[in-house]
Amino acid sequence: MRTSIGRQPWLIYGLMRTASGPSPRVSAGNGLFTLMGFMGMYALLAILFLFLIYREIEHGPEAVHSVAGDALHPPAAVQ
Amino acid sequence: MLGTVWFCLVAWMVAVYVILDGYDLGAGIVHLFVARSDDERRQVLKSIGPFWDGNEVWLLAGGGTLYFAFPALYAASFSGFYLPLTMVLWLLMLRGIAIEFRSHVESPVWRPLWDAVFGGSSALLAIFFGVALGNVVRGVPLDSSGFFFLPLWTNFGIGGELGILDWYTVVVGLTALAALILHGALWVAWKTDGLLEQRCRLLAVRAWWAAAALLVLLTVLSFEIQPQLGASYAERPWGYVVPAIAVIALVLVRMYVRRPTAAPFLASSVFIAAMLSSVAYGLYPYVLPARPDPRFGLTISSAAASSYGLRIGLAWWIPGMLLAAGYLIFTYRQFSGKVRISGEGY
Repeated sequence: MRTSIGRQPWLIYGLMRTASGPSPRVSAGNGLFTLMGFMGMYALLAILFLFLIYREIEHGPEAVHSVAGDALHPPAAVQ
Repeated sequence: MLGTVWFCLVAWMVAVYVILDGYDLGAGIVHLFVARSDDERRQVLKSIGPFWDGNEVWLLAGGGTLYFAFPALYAASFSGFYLPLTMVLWLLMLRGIAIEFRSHVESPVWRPLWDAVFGGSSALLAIFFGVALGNVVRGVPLDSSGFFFLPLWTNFGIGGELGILDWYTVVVGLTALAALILHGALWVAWKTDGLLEQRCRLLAVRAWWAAAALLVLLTVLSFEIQPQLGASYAERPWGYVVPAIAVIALVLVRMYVRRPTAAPFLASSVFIAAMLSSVAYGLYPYVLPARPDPRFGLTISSAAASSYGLRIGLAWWIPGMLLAAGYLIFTYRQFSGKVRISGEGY
């Protein structure tokens, strides 16, 4: 965002103005509709992500069964 | 000359995309019908699991190649098809979410929901891609500005004001659906065994008849509505070899359909490649024909980038393709053979 705002009013610095950039045949309504669609899509993805991550944390890690053990489960702690 | 080379390369990338993503889209469509139990659904997912996202990269690469080799075509088509292209993106996103999330939660609501999303979005994508091809063959309302706008539909005719959906593009969409059901069923049959494999082969036989019938209809309609196709083949008749290969491959698919090898799937791949090549051959030198005024159609020379750019691009495209071929061979060897369901993944 910083690079894009800082570059204004250029789309490509020194070569092309932002004003000459937009597609001439795409209506503002279409632009708004797809913007909201993408926001909806990412909102859905965020909700699903939070749901699955929450479930995973709730569930906790699998028990480690290792003869050699590791930092959290030294061999002495293994039955 | 260089423009023609890039025309062939872009057509080739589109064909590779349709062959590769086509079978996993097809698997998504058929899994609702051939996979009855949860285990079978997971088998279908696992058969495309290591490949489907890599396959979709070909769509990205094809779009990128189009952007660089034929910028005027890219600008005109991506703004003219703005809304349907965005819908394709949403469907691709939903489909990816469905594939990756479905097996994480064991619930009678969660899994069937994502299975339906997976199947539905796969079917819609197959139809959308077919409709897109139909629009290119029929021609779009380009004018002297080099741009166009198409509403989603008007009166479903091709005479008056054009829409993205009309009777012709809908037939192309249904043909694509049938062809990808066939292609996907053959893939799943090759990668699985038991009842699932048998059901796939049965479905493939039915889809074959549907695809063959639609294809005959579509060929007649296409030559009827797009005079450029007839003109191309009349001018360079040796090009009839390409559709002839498509017909032979389609007959081979029917002959091999019960063979427990890769043969039926490979025949179907050759069929798709030859089919798309014969369309590209028929449209050449147009990259996007115009209707109602064919003079505004974009051709290779009016849409291509400068010859310097095309030359440099070729020098990068070749090593890029070698890399892609390398990882393609690696993954398909790594995950060859029938899939087995184990505790982990999908």
